[in-house]
Amino acid sequence: MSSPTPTAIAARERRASLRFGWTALFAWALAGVGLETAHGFKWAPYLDDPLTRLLLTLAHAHGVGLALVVLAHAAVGAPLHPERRAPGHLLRAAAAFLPLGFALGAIAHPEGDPSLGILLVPLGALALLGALAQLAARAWRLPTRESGPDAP
Amino acid sequence: MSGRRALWALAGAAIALGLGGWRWGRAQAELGRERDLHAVGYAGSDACRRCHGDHWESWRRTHHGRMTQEATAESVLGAFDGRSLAYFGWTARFERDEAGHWVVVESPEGAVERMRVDRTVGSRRVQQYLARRDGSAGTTWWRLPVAWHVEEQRWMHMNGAFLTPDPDAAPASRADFERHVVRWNDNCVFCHNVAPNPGRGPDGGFETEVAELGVACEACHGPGADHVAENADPLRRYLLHYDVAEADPTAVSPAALDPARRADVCGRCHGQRLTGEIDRFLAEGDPFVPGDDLALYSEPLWRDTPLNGEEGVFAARFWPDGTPRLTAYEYQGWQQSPCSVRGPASGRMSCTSCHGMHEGDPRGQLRPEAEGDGACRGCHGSSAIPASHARHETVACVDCHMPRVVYGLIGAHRSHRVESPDPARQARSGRPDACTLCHVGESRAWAARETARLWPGASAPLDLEPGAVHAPSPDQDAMEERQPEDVIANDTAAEDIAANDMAAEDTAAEDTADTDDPSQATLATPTAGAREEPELERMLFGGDPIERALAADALGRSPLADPARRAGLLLDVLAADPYPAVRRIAFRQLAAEHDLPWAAFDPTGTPTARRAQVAALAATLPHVPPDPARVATLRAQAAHHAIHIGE
Repeated sequence: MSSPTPTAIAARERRASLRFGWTALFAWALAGVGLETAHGFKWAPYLDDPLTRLLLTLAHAHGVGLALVVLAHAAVGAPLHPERRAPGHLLRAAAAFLPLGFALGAIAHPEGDPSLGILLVPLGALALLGALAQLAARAWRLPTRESGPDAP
Repeated sequence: MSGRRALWALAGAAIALGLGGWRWGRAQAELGRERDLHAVGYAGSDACRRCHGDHWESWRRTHHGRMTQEATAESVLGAFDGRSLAYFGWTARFERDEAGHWVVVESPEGAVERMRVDRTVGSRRVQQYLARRDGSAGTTWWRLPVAWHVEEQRWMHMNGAFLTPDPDAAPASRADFERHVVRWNDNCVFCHNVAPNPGRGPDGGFETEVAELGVACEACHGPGADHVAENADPLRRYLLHYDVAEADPTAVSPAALDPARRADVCGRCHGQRLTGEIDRFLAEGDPFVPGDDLALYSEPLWRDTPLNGEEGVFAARFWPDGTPRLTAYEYQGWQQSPCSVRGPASGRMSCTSCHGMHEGDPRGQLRPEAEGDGACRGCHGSSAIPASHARHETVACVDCHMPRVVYGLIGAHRSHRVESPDPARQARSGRPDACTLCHVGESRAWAARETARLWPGASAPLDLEPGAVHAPSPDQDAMEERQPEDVIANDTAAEDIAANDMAAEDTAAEDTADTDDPSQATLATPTAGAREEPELERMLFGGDPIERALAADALGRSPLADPARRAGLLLDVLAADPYPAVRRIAFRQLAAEHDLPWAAFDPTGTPTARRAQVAALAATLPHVPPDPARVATLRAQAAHHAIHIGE
């Protein structure tokens, strides 16, 4: 069995990031509407608990923000690592774990601290840092001058 | 994944697991180690708020946290808007400028003294004010003789809050005007702050320190500096959150204490005490931390507790049977209650059976589930005590088992000696009974007969022979045994020490009056004839100041009193009772029933001013005056002595 070509890997990465990114953006935007509704209808369990509000706001913000990063990755990140899928996997894992960790941490939390779901946050943060480090390294490895017939 | 990478990943995971396990074990071992909190520092309630926001909020809404405050625009409730208070020839004017709040006192001779308000005490009923003095004796704070009545939204002289009579004449002497001026450093400081330390030096000077002004988190949970520092570790917190570890040894949870130790936390302030180590208390502070046995450092005051070998000093603070009749003795009442000693130790009644620091209405802090009959029904279910037991449609358990026979803060409060009502026994022992406080036209003998009829076996018939031997019930025997037989000789309460230290000489006179044990004479069991007379009227006109205050309050509360007759009785009290606190309570009842403005009567006014106000009230209020001859007869029996409250 032959291993996939870099072009095929890049295409798969792009497809995966587009699917994940748009889906996550939809989901976390929907969650944002939910939070606004909670404000609109003065839903006490949300409004009366400052830590729950903070965690759900963080979940919404991280979810939307990282979904956009994943979409950006589809456009300008995937071509940086045509032969490896690890940076894309890590980035998508981060975009899932970080907001989910905040959201789950808000559920049935003890006084003063999030519940155990918050453990996903440091895992997501590690994944995010790993992905960004690899993408940054790839970017620095790009040739300083364009090669080919159109190069100056 | 290549073999080398897998090896690295495995090694990393093993190291992480090892480190995690080591930290887990260390945290668990540390959490299992008992701590002595006596040497631990205090962190302050703001530090608690970071993690315990809900508890902080629920505490902050109570009046405990505002018991002592720095004087600021937010904390000062009184109207410092240039208005004045006149008191027997003296005038106090209340002003405010950029430098703060000022009380300007002008004596009858025209001497003017300006005092800047530095701190406030209280926020619910009455707000008192402290002025600071810096001198060779260190920094001292003094309670001013005037205060703001929060409910009535008007100024009052402190003589109207304590059970002391009017000045003999107008203008009042300086001693009369400053009768209730006391030093905060070794009086109020003990119960209104966290970790109070008067810091009295060998030269008598003060370097007073408190961990926090007001009754804050660490007053009940113990010093929290270690708790705050050690719980910066998230692993430790999560071990506690998810009950992997035992209770945190760096903090006290009153809910986890046994009922007796839990009551000690409250009893430290809600039960006046004596200590054998007064010099240590004044020099180093109160060593009690929550969880301690309060008896290690002090003993509750009882009726027969001597002071410096002298008997009867505190007798006037108790009914003849030993039941407290002043507030701040709730701990003693609890100790006398059968509910505090019956049943398995873990299930006995404690303060928190009814009250909660973090729940309920801040006025009284009754837990929601303890409202109504809830507190009693928790143990006394409807199968054991059916609703028909009450024999009344609208009374709650506490109306009969915790009657309002306690005076404090210009009001009548429920006794915390929870027990079965027995009017016959209470008549013999000279204590008001629940029945005649509501059935205001009835006699002690009637109450005893009705009790025997409605609850056969619960009350013996009242022996009408004067001087009948008191035959206590088994319960009473048990409770009376709990009162200390051997009291601490040569002890003295901090407040009494302070009273002796105070510059105001008249306070000594007040204390002297207290030592006469007037209750022995004035609360003696009524004669046979008197026992068939309406008991409330006897109390209202012929009782001692506490009885008169309680009777005025009960008269206003009773749904059974005829309004016109009630108004007549209360107007007579306004006109003639020599105690401003009694008059204030009487007027409050009238004002509530007839929607009168507070300005309609000044309880601390001069007799001339009061007569005019009472005449104006009598002209508008429908009332039936009481029989003057009977009132005169009863008033001839009344006792007019000062009762040192020791708040």
